[in-house]
Amino acid sequence: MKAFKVALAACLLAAGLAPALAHHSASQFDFRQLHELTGQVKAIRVINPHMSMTLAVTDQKGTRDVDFEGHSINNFYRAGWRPNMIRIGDQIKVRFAPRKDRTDGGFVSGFVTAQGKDIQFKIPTEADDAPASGQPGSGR
Amino acid sequence: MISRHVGKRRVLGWRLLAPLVLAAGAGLGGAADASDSHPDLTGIWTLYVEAGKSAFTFNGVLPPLPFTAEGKRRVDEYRSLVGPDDNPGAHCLGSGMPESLTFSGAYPMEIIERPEQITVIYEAHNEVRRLYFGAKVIPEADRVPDRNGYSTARWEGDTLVVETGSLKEQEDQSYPHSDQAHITERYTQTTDARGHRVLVAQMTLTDPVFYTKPVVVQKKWRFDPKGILLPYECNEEAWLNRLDELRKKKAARTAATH
Repeated sequence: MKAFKVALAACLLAAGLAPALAHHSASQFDFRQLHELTGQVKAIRVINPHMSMTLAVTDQKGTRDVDFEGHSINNFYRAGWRPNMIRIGDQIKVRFAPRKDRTDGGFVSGFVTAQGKDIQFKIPTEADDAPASGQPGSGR
Repeated sequence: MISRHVGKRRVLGWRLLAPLVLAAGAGLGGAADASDSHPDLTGIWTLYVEAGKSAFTFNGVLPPLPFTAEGKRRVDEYRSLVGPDDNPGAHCLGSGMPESLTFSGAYPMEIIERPEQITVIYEAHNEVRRLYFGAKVIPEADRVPDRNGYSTARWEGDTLVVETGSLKEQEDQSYPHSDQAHITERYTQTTDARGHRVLVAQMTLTDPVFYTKPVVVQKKWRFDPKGILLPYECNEEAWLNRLDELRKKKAARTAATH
């Protein structure tokens, strides 16, 4: 499953699922890998062309702020995100493609909200009778 | 009375009114599209995924393009200036034709069809194209060059034919072209094996400056009866960053005066 998600994320970017991804290069991210981090939301902007988020994280590296970016608000919406689903102060888990230079942060490919809602960005398939255009995603 | 069939507008009312409208249109220098029957493309169209194929066939790699020496020289010059990590979208500039047509990713488009004008809204970058019929068409000399050009349209039976000129030179395109480029799009509607309405566009790009022969590309969409188009405000981040900057300056001034 993990391999699939990694492949998916790589495919999304390589294919340019969203033109938003063309807004600036994603070449700094390693989409062959999928990392996870849990932290407290200090800032979040879900806008176009990219979302941005800062998590306060405590792990073996210590306590620090980690910056992420991710899909457009349009893709967030279609993946199942809704306004106020993630609030400042929430404890959430993010899945992300790490930076190639191994500094903190990465490109968000999915997250689990404080209420346990699991959102995963997905690539459309022929089986999608309810396609991406305006239909809330299943939030898998 | 207008009765709508699936994907097809039977303009019964139009038939009744046609003589009056045509007479009025003649006085305005030409009638609007007065075909008595043609496909109704109005609605939301989203990425079509071929059975058994990847959702994306582009994958960042285009087949070799038949550049002229001059076309290749201009593209090479552009690419020596702008690296692969930069592009117009990075600065919130829309794709322009033909990229707005061919590479709108998974974002959908909305078509709004009226007899005298078809409006195409690509969610990506909120790019809007207006395809004019009949009396709405202005003389070529009055058209302002644009990244999406100026488009006229006509129906050939059930095929929508769109002619686009007045394009700006754009080496930043996946299909780069000069301002001499001309694009013809032919839209036909079919139904796939699963019963989906499918819109097929065949795009032909000709450009004597850039290409030795026409470049032909096909693009497909699927009708999404429940779909909506979302806003796409690209500049919001820049403004929010500006506000942050102003707040920091204000805080610094306040701190300096205390």
